[in-house]
Amino acid sequence: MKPLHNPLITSIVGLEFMLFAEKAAYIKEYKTLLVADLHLGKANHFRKNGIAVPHQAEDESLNRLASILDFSKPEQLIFMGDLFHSEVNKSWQRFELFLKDYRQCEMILVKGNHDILANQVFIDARLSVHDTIEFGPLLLSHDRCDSQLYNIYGHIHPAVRLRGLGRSYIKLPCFIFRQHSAILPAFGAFTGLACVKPVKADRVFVINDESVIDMSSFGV
Amino acid sequence: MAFQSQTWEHCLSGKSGLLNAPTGTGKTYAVFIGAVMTCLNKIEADEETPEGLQIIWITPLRALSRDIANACEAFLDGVGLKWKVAVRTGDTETKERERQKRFHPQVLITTPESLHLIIASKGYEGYLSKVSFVIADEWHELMGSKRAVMLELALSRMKTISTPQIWGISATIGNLSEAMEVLLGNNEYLQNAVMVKAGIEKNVTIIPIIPDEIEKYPRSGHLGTQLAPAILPIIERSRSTLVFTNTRSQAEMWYQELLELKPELAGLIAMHHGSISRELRDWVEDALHAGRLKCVVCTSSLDLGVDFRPVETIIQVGSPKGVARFLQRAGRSGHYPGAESTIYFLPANSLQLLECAALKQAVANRDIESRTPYIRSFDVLVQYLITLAVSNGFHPQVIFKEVLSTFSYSSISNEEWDWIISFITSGGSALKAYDEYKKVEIMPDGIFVITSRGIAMRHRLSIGAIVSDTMLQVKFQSGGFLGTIEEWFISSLSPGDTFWFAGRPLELIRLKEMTVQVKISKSRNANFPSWMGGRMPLSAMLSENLRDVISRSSHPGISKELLAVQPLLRTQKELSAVPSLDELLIEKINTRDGYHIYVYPFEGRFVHEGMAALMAYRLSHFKPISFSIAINDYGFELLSDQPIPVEDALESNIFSTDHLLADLQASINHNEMARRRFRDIAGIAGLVFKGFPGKYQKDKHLQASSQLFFDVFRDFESDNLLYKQAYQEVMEFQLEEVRLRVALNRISKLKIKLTYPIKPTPFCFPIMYDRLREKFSTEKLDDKIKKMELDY
Repeated sequence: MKPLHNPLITSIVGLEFMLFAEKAAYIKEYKTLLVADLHLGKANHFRKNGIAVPHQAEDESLNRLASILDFSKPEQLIFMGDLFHSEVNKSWQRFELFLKDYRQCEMILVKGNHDILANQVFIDARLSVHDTIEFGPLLLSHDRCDSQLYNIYGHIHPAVRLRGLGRSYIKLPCFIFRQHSAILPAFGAFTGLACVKPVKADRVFVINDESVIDMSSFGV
Repeated sequence: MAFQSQTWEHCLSGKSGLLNAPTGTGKTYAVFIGAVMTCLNKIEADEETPEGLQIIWITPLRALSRDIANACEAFLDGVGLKWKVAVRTGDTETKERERQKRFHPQVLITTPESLHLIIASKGYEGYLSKVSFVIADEWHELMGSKRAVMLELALSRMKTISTPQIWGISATIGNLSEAMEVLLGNNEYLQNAVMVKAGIEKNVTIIPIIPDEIEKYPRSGHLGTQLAPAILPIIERSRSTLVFTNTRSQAEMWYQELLELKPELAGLIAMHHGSISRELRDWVEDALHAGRLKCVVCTSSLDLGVDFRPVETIIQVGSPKGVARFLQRAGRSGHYPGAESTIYFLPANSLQLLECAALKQAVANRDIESRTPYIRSFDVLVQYLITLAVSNGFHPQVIFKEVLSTFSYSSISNEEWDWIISFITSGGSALKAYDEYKKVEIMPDGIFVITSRGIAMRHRLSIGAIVSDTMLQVKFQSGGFLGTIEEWFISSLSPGDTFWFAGRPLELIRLKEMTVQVKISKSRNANFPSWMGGRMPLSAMLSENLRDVISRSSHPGISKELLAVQPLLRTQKELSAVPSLDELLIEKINTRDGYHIYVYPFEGRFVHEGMAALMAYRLSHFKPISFSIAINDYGFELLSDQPIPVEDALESNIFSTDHLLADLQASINHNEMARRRFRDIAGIAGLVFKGFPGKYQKDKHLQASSQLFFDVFRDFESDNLLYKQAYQEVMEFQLEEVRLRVALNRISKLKIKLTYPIKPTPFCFPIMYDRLREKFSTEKLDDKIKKMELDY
């Protein structure tokens, strides 16, 4: 198992967040780990239909999740939607086994558009299912919600384009913390990226392979 | 004609081979009549119409198939044979295909893709069992593409089924004997083959169109519409004129421009390109035949094909990039015995006048390019094996032997073959308990088949080696079909936006499933769609002539184009230098954008791409540095935010061929070339399914971009042969490693001429403003990111 890289610690709406380069966020006050858009089962779904996605993509996602869980030891893990991208297949059975290794941690699912499994399937796997969750000053959802609360969501697999001198560009996945909402990066390995145009007031944390970098702390 | 009777004799004596003859010389009849005579010889005298398919005629363009069929039918009628001729291409309707399967025609005109579709249908062996002739028309056109590999594979199957005679027909290319080898494969076919040369070459006159004031003519760009008024009198004078542009958007713009300059042309001018609907193109071709059109603005869509006799004049807009293509286009005029071909060259920017001089020289010397065949294309092989598995199934041992006998796959190893087999049966990796991979299954009798109907259906829909973007149909609200357009262009528009298409300003009403609904717009300020087209490199032949022309350009003699370009060359000389044949010019310029280096090897953009990556990599040994790279056919630019230690680098022989392969591989890993190559590979090998053209995508849940595949292969399965193939193709076709090595050897003998111009020179100007750029960096990503800013 690959060792974790040092997370970046930052404070948002009065809460202390640990942002992992492995694409998860931990809220210290609530001992809660947030993970968005795993899309587990997607690789297997493709393979079942004759399209040879390397299945290591899926192993890697679960291994990475295990590393973060072992390091942060959260009391609860909230999957922010698009946890499972298929009908029940063998990947799901494997994921159920994985969950059994973390009995001490409460598992919660905020349902996403790709989570087409019946609720009972999630419940049987010890996941409690919600459409949204209110959590102190926070509203957790899969896609964006209008709310008085600070809305944290996933769904769009955010990335930003960085511009350098000499007309060079680079596209990287990121966490974006806006004035009233925040977007989490997609966790799964076999998922794409969608470019988001930030505005000046946004705090953007780009994810390099090894670190999380706060773009507001330099440049501009 | 002598070459025709020669060909007939060879056909009758059972030989296979290649006929080298230009279009419009009776090449079709040379081979077709030979094939028919041979077939008749084989059958009993009292049955003039043999049972079953006898002759397969492969054409690269489905647009040509109808004309070929007409020619064949005309001959058969003429000699009183009651043979049936059928056409089967992507345009053929399912009903007609089914009919052909039941009532076998004697002659089938088809494309490589459709031939594979036949092989993908159950019982294809019976259908092909009587074939005694396969003819590959315009073989030079297929040669340098993966479609040729498809044909090689299909032929390898047919050789086992019915051992037909195989003939290719090719225009002159630099590597004719290799072309024959590729077609026939490495086996007894080749040992017994003949090459027939027609030996007819037309005279070509090249006339440059010269801007009145060269100083005011654009120094960069590829449009050339400023010169449009100059071609009006040319169009006026000749019966019909073809105006060739290099891209579809350029064709749209030129069509508009000509109509605006001379509204009387309305009704007498038309446009022809690959995105316009078939009906419209047919209409244009018919009208050209009948002499009803004064002018047609077209792209390579009219490069090939039947002769348009009324066409007297050809105008080439912008660089044709190669001598062969230029001659092919020139040959579209003067289609009667003894006629000359006249072609006007219209430079799209002032520097292209130099190319005109180079073209003249190359044409005079008959310096014609070679076509590099694709070898070891694992994507096409994967597709072919799946094709066999969806029809009758296959025995790997039998097929491996056939595959090894082709030119393309003669060098694949047992290990590679085993990998391919494991890729299609178990998804390329060791079996794991939770894995549910399912594609090709192995039956108890050892036959490899596909049983899933869904997989078979998706495969049949994606057979082919041309991978295009998702195409949307452009239709009027009332239903009139205008043509097809790439999804990515439309997705950049919102309802109410206007764009030019098929010569009309259109307003986007809505996008509904796979259809773009439009209405005629009154706005004249519409967008021109830019179709993604390959940027062709200047060929080696043309490059060589260009370097020669430039070195002698200060002595223009009576050459009109060289005289015209003198003011530009004087500016170049004042600011920097004009290189002679034994010099390599390098310019070092600082601007607000950063520190620029321009290098001018004049080797064509692909070689420059490799050279730029190599130079960037080797420069990075001096210090960690990031570059933005721009390229054109004349040279390349390295742009950095830090001073570039080029003087030190030149001291240490930065253009050496030592460690070339290793350094190139290291430098490729830093950029995006392989990723782009992989796009086609993923499509051909069936990883990316695009759905049926024009049909709504039902299998959205099985769509992922080739980029995503590239990333997961890189991260988790870097020994995947398809992934590795992307890098090999980059070496061979993108960086043209062989050509690059030759170029570096040439450069290593040159004197380096390093200049420090105070402002951009005529040579560097077009490169500086190129927006399409590569990245290269050896700085640590973290350090690099810290110097960047968000793109708001």
